[in-house]
Amino acid sequence: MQIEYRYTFSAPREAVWDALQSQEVLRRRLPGCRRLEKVGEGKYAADLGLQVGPINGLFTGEVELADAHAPEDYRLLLQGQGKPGTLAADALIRLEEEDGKTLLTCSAQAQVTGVMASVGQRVMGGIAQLLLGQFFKGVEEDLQSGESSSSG
Amino acid sequence: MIPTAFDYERASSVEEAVHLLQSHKGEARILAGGHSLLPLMKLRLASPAVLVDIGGIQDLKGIAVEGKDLVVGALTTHSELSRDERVKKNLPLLAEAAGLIGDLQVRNRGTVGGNLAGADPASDLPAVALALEARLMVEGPQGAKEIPMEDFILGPLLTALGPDEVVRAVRFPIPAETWKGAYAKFEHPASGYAAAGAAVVLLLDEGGTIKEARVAITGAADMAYRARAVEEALKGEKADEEVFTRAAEQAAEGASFSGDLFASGDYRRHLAQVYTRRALRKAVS
Repeated sequence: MQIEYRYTFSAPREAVWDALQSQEVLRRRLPGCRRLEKVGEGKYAADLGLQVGPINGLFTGEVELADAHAPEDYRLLLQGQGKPGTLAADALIRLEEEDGKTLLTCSAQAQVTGVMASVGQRVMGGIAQLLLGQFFKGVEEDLQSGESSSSG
Repeated sequence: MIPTAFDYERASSVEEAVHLLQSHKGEARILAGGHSLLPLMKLRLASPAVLVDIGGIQDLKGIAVEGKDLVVGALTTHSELSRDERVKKNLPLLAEAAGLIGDLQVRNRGTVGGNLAGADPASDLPAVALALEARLMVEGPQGAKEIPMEDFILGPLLTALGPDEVVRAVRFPIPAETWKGAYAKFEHPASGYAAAGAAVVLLLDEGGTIKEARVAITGAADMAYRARAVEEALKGEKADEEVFTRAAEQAAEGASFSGDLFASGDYRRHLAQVYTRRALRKAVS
C-alpha cells in the first residue's frame, strides 16, 4: 500500500528537523505510543497502542530513523507485531523550506498482514493518513509550545 | 472467531445508557443491531471491555414526520426504513438506499443510528444523509444537541460522537420546493458494501433549471464526502445529460482515494464519476 502525505509546519526547517529526530517528541507524539526505548543509533523499541474508532490493537516493534541528510530528508522505518497482524512501513520524509514555513512530504510503502490486511484494508489507507496527521499535528503543537527543544 | 471477553449491560433508557457509558470511561461501546461492531469484535480488531445494549429502549424506535423533517429513531432498521410509507412518499431516495444495504439479514438487524455512528467509509447511508443534510440528535451527559451530518463524520470509522454520547434519532429535512433525488451504487459482490455510491438531491425551479444541487459520495474515498465541485457545476444549469456528464467529471475533487485488494485508487476515482452521473440521470428519469 502506497501512502502519500503532506503537511505544512509554520516553523523553520531546522526546528522541524530537530523535533522529528527527538526521542522525547517521538515518544510523546507517535500515535498511541506507550513505550519508546533507545536500542541503538536512531533505533528504538516501541509499543504502540493504536485506537481508531472501535478498532484497537497493541503493536510491539521497532522504530528506526535512517539515511539522515539533515535537514532535508530521512527514512522512517516502522515494524510492529500485534494481535491483529503485523505492519511494516518504509517512509521517505522530505522537508522543504518555504517563507519560514516547512513543507513536509511523506512517501511511504506499507505492508499489513493478518486480519487487518484481509478485512481492514478497505479502511487502512484512510487510517494511515489519519495517524500521520495526528503525529505531525502533535509535533507541530510541541514546536509551538517550545517543548521540542527540551531534549534531543 | 470468538470475541475477547466483555461485560454486558442493558440500558432501559437513553439516560441510563449515557450513565453506563460514562461510568465505564471510554471502555464501553454501544450495541444496537451489532452488524458493524460484532464482526469487528469476532475478528478481534475491536475489543471493548463492556457492551451497552440499547436494543430495548423504546424511545429510540419509530419514524415520524415532525414539521418539515422526517425523524427516524436511531434503532430503526434498514428494512423498516426501506418499507415505510412516510419515507417512500417524502424521501424516496432514502428508502431506496436503505433497501440496497448489505443483504437481507443486515437490513433486518442493522440500524440507522448504528450505521451512521459506525462511519464505515463504504456504507451507503452516509452519502444519503449528507445529500439530504440530515442532522443527528445526540444525547450526552451535557444534555441533547444536534450535529449536522457533515460535521459528524470525521474520518474512516471516526465521528464527532463522544465516548459517552448516544445517537437518539436522525432528522432528515424534507425539501420544500420541487426536487428530485436518487442513489446509485456499485456494490462489492460479496459484502454489498459500496465500492462507490452517489446520492444526489436536485432542487429545481418551474422551468426545470437546477437551483441547488447536493451530491455526496461514499465507498470510493476514505470517507463519505460532499462533492462540492459537482454541485457548483450543476447550479443554474438545465438538468440534462450534457450538464450531468460535465459535472460528474468533478466527482473526485477534494477527496483522497486509496486502493485495496478489491479496487485501486484510480479505479475508485473513476467509479465515483460514473456513479455520480448515473445517480443524476436516475434522479430526473
